[in-house]
Formats: sequence, C-alpha cells, structure tokens
Amino acid sequence: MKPPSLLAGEMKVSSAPGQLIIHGLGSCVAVFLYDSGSRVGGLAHILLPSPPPDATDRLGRYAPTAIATMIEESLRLGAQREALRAKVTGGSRMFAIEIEGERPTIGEKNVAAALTALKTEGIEVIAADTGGDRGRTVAADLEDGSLTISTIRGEPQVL
Amino acid sequence: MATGTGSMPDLARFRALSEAGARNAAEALSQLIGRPLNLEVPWARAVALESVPEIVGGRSRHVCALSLRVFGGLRGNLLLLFGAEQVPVLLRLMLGGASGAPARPDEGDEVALTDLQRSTLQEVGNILAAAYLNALSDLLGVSLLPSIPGLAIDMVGAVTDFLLIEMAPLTDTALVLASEVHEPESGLKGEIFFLPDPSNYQALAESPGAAPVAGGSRS
Repeated sequence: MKPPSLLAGEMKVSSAPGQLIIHGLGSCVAVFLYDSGSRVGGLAHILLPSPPPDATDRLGRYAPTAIATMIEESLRLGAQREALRAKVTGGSRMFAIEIEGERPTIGEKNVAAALTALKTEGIEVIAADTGGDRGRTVAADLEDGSLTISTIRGEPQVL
Repeated sequence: MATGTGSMPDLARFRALSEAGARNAAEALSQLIGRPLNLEVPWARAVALESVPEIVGGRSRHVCALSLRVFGGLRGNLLLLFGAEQVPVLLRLMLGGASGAPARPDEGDEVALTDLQRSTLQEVGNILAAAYLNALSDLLGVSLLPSIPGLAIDMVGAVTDFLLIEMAPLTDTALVLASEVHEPESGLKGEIFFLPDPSNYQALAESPGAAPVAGGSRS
C-alpha cells in the first residue's frame, strides 16, 4: 500500500522496505538522502530556503535544517554518513505570468539553498531534476534508492 | 510556536464576506454563460498552513487553477479552481460551437489548449475575480485590484505551494474564505478561495464591514 504524501515542511526517514511520497510538488523542493549499504533513506518536502534566526521547530520547512535533521535521523537508523547520497527535485514556476521578471524565482531559490546545504554537509548530489513549469509527484523507493518523478503528462522519469 | 494564531479573528465575521463575494461571482458567471448558477454554502476557516492543499481537494487532485494576486486596501491571493475534467464543459459554455478541440489533446494540461481557449479561461478568471472583489470592496470600504490571472492545469499541491511559501514566514495558520458555484444542467462546478495576507488579519477583523449581519449586532 502506498503511504500518504508528505505535507509541505514534513520530512521522514526510514529503512527499507517502503516508499516515501510527495504528491504535487510545485515550487517547493524535495531532497532524497539514501545510503545504499544500510538501505536507510529520508525525504524532505522543503518550503523555504532559510530558517528564521531562532528556529527550533518546524525544521523540515527550511533547506539547511531539514537536511541536517535528516542526516542525524539517518545515522540513528544505521546509515553511514560517508555513504549518503542525495537526489534533488522540484523548484517549478507554476504561474509564469505572475512572476514575470522576478528572478530568481522562489523555486530556483529553494533549489539553490538545498544544493548549498548539501555541499556544506559534504553530501554528493548524484541526480537532479529541477525547475520547469510542471508539478511533480515524487516517490522515493527505500529498496533500491530510486526516485520516480511523474507529472500530469508524459511518462514517469526514474532518477 | 504558532505565530499569527493569536491575532486570528472571529471567523463568523468572514462568512458574510465569503458569501457576498461568491454571490457576485456566481451572478457574473451566470451572465457569461447565460444560465442560472447555484451558490453552495460559503465558509471561512482557519486551517494549519500545511492543510491548505487538503481543504482544496488534496495534493494530487487534477485541477484547472487561475491564480490572482489581490492588491489595494486588503492584500491576498485569490484562487479559482475547476476540476481539470471540467475544462471542456466550461469552454463549451463560454465559446459554444466555437470552443473546438484542444490543440494537443494528449498533453492533458494548459499546453494542450489553443490560444483562444487559454485566453477564454483567463477571461473567466478576470471576470469572476472582479465580481468577487467588488463585493468585498463594497463591504469593507477599500479598493481591491486583481493582478492578471496566472493559469495552470496541474495538481492541487503544485498550484498551492507558492501560497504556503508566501505565508510560512508570517503565520502557521491560514485564513481561508471559500465558496462554490454550481451549474446543475452541465454539472459545471467552480470553487473560489480567498486567502488574505496574514498581515491583514487584524485589520480585517476590526473592519465594520466584516460583521456577520450588515448593520446588525448579532454575534
């Protein structure tokens, strides 16, 4: 049975078997961390590039805190830090007309913040599918570390 | 800490706004398509920010969304939704025999539409938004101006993401004014959601126009 979608700002870390899913990702960004040895992984549905100065809760909302928290949780479940790899998706611009001229878009800012946070943590990004003007449904498989991305048109893409 | 919830105003006061806006919008759409429309019971709710996509039908629901930014005395976002399967119905009602087939029917989104079809949908957005905001403007005594509508045919989660992104730094609870219009013969159903900016919640609550009964003192 498919699990429910992660809500905006939610993150989940788990070990195989199982899937972690986000339905209808738009300008938010999804980061999937996975260790293929221990088959432990985590998915975050990130809303914003950076946390307010004193953030102590809702850490899943912000790129750096979501990624740091997922790493901690993964290690607790048996992942090896140096074995963790990342896949990144999302960051669309859904309504072209509204934000004409506004660059970078919020989606682009979210993607850039996620990539920066991963670099700071020393985690290699092995696949990414970001930007565009489509919503994405994202399914992370904890068996094999694949990330399947579907939109409302065309065939699903597997990262 | 739930910022913003402390200043979340009495919701009963907003049903009148939601209803007046929707009644005006229903009348405008009814004139456009030449058929009477029913107005479903409008409501106003304070919901956890993350739950906004759920009350709009769930993150994976496939919709035609028209999104407008509202400027003026009260700022916010107006979201007009039709089920994606309703797009041909709406186009037929608007354009009659001229509605035509989609340019690329296999695409399943706004890319599939002809220029005429796309601008027709945006015009529906313009007219509904103007009618809705006129009613609110009258009640609140402020001027309200909509932006050009953005159009996307996609999943609810994707078309509401930016609302959550905008509001998250300011509040954990969103005020949502919602209503639904329905044309019984064709089955056409449109949903209207107005989300005032969190910085306006207090001013909105104190506005005399938001009283539950105009001129009355019932609470």
